[in-house]
Amino acid sequence: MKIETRLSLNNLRSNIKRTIFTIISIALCTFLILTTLIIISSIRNGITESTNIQYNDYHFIIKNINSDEFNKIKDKEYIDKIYIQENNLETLKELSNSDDPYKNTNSINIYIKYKNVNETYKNSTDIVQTLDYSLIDAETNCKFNDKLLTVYGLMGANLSYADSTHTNIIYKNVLNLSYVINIMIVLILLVFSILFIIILYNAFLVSINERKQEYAILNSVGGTEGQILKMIFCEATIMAIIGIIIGVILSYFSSNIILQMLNNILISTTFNFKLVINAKYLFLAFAIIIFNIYISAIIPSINASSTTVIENLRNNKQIKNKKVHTLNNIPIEARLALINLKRNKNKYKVITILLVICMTAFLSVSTYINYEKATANLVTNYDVDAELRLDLASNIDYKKILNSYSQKIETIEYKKMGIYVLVEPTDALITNNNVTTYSNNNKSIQIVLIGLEDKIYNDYINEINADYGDYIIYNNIMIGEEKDEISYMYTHAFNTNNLDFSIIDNSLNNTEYRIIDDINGKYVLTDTLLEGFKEINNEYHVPTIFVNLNTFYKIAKSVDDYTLENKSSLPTWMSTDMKEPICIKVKCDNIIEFSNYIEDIKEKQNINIYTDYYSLENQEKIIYIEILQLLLRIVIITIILIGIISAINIINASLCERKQEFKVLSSLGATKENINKILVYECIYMFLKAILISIVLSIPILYIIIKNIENIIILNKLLIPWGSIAIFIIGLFIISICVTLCSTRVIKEDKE
Amino acid sequence: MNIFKVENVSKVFGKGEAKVVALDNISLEIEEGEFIAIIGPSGSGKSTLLHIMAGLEKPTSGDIYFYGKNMNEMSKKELTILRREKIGIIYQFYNLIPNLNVEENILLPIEFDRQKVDKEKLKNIMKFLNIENRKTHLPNELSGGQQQKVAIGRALMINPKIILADEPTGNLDTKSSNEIINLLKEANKKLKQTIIIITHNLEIAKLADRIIKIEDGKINLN
Repeated sequence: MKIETRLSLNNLRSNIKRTIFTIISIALCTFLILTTLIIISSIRNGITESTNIQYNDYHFIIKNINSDEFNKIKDKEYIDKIYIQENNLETLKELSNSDDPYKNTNSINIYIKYKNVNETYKNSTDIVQTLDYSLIDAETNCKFNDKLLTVYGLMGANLSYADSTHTNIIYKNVLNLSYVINIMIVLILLVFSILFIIILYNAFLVSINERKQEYAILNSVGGTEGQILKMIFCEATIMAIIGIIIGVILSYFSSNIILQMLNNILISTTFNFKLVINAKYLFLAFAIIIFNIYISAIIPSINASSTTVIENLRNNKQIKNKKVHTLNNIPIEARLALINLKRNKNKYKVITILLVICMTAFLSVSTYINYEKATANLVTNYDVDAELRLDLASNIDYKKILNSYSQKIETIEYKKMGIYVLVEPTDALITNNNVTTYSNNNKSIQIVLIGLEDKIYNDYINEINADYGDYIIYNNIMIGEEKDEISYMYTHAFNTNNLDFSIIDNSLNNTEYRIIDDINGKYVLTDTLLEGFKEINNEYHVPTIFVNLNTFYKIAKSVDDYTLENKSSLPTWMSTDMKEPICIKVKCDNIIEFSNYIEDIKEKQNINIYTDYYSLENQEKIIYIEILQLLLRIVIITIILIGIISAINIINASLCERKQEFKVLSSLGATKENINKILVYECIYMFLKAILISIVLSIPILYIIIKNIENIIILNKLLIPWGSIAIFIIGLFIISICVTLCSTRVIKEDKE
Repeated sequence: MNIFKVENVSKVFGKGEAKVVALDNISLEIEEGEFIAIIGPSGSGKSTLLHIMAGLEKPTSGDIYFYGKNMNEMSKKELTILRREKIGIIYQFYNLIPNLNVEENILLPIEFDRQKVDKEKLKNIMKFLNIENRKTHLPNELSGGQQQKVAIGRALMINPKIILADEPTGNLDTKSSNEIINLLKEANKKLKQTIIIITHNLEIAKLADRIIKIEDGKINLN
């Protein structure tokens, strides 16, 4: 065996603690990088598999295409398969691979799957140009399977003319998210690599610095720099092999567990992730790990070899003679600790950096998760999961659609329409929201009229002690700015039950109106909202009036009659706005599954159902937060473990170096307690410094988090988890003190 | 034949107010087979001269020739190989590798040179130094004298042209000191080994063929 290899093995054996810590650091860093890539490849594979189910794996849809047109494009070389729908309501059939022209007198719908999904927009452009479609034809008849394409990072395309001649149209990619995701993965790996290098660099630095004198001796007896570097690389290689093997095993088992946990979170969805090890990612992971290990080893070894042999032989410690101001009335142990830290700043810098990384990471991640949870809770103020609205004239058999859904659901049917009413007396209105004042000082307000089936109507009037036939005015309306900000402030619209409403046509101009009909009856103001209609609190900026169906139809007839009489003078929005759609509230167990079912039907049968999936966002948000929490926690725990291992390593090495110093102190009368106190003070100073730096670093990070969240929710309090952070910092402090005090045992072990 | 020719060598450490002239224009020649003692008070520049001759430091000015070759023109690697093959060094504090046993410490330069180990020679050297029965011991299991003998063995193993010993008895008791000096003297007589030894001890210096006295970086006596 060559002398370099033997010396390396000897060094590893003789410094077994250092060796073990370094191997553990390598294993954890390997685990971090490899697990990240395995999880990413498994998730990507899982998402692709779940969306690539047969009859759902098409990329481009062309509706109402005739046989001649179809035959022009069906044999294009970039097409993988084509599904045909010969009738709007029929299921899809895969077109067989045949060169024979397709014959069908009727128009069909075709669903095309391309060989290369990344060329979807390019191929679709070719198809629409082959078919010589105009812009309108393409907009009307063509559609992309956005749900599937999103998985591949294709976020939609704009349809426009290719040039100024307006002869050819082209699909232009809006955003290739896949590219963005790849950049994010690179950034994550870069951050992990930097952490990896910092940790390992210090592990090797500690080890090399401990042996500088030995390297000098070897150099003085004939070991060249190259041979000494070979020794260091040999040690790095041995530790790397062991560390990487442990890291790989750890990563394999952990990835399985993490994927299982993810699958449990996503149990309500169609996703089911299996462990998939992509060879490309594996190669990338190992390349990064090996590169990081050798970069970490080479820098300190080159630094070590650049100092002169004589300096290393004399073992001159680089201590800066800085004037240190200390308070005279602090204990001697505290003063010695402060002097040591100030004059050996470089040595203790790394421990401080590790503490800062751990604290800042924990603070930022736990705060972010807290805020995300708050935004999730925001959208839970619903007591139904979805609402469907169907145009009365559409003749959709909605009952069949809902009955065909495989899971159990509860439904509430009702009618809804928006109307404008003139309010008397004028001073009954105490809000200015959606109120129009006319020249004769009359005021009108927009309202939502809801017609309930008797059973539900009766439940309501019983709850608020009203009578059958009463107009129940839910008096709470939401005020605040719309668009991106949600402001949860409410006001009343009316201040009295003694109201008279007249339905008006206010389409003329701002100053004039025409009365359509009076709404005569008893009005009851209430703050109590009917069970099943809680979304009104989150959405309606106008009052809501609940009536029974009879009353509703009477009012609707008045409006319809007026509309028929005055058809020609009415604006389009008014005539369509006055139609009463069928509204169905739905309660289901799995909103994600229900929404997928409805969307699928809408697409396949080409029907118009307006949908509001109230709890979908919350459900998705909760799932997103749970996944985020899981992944971030794993990353944080790994980073903290790595930080602790490294800190132990460095503290241990530092104390070994100071054996002589402690012996001298001992000989001058310092007891074990005195020496322990010095070390505890050093720990406290480093901790306080690390906390201060962490707070400073965390402020901009927290500011960015809070500012981003404020786009979704305005909160009146800080959601920083002070409790968890305090526990974490105290825990870290206790670990540091324990490590420091345990390591002082080395003083006792030395018999010299 | 001249092993070493030192011509007008000066060595200055530091700058400005902290400037220290360790060696001031020193010239001397060392012949083959000589046993030379360098004496002088602390801080006179003795060790600095030895380090320059061993190629561990470069002079600030002047030239130093080893068998006619200017050491200033040699690269770090060449100087290291020179120490490996031709110059043996013995330090005051032994400077053995703590993880290697006696035999392994002695063989270090040979192994760095990728030479085949002459077991017979190793045996003879250990016998000569009277450490044969300690060959598997680690340095921390040896006395100071024994450790210094191992250092001498390491220096002798390579068949050096010259041995440079920096206060080899500085850390030893009288008995061990005498043992070491006798060994060096014997190496010089029997093996015709050229030896330069730095010492504070005049009694030891008197055993040498030539005494060089250095004071304030200058040779006072040669």
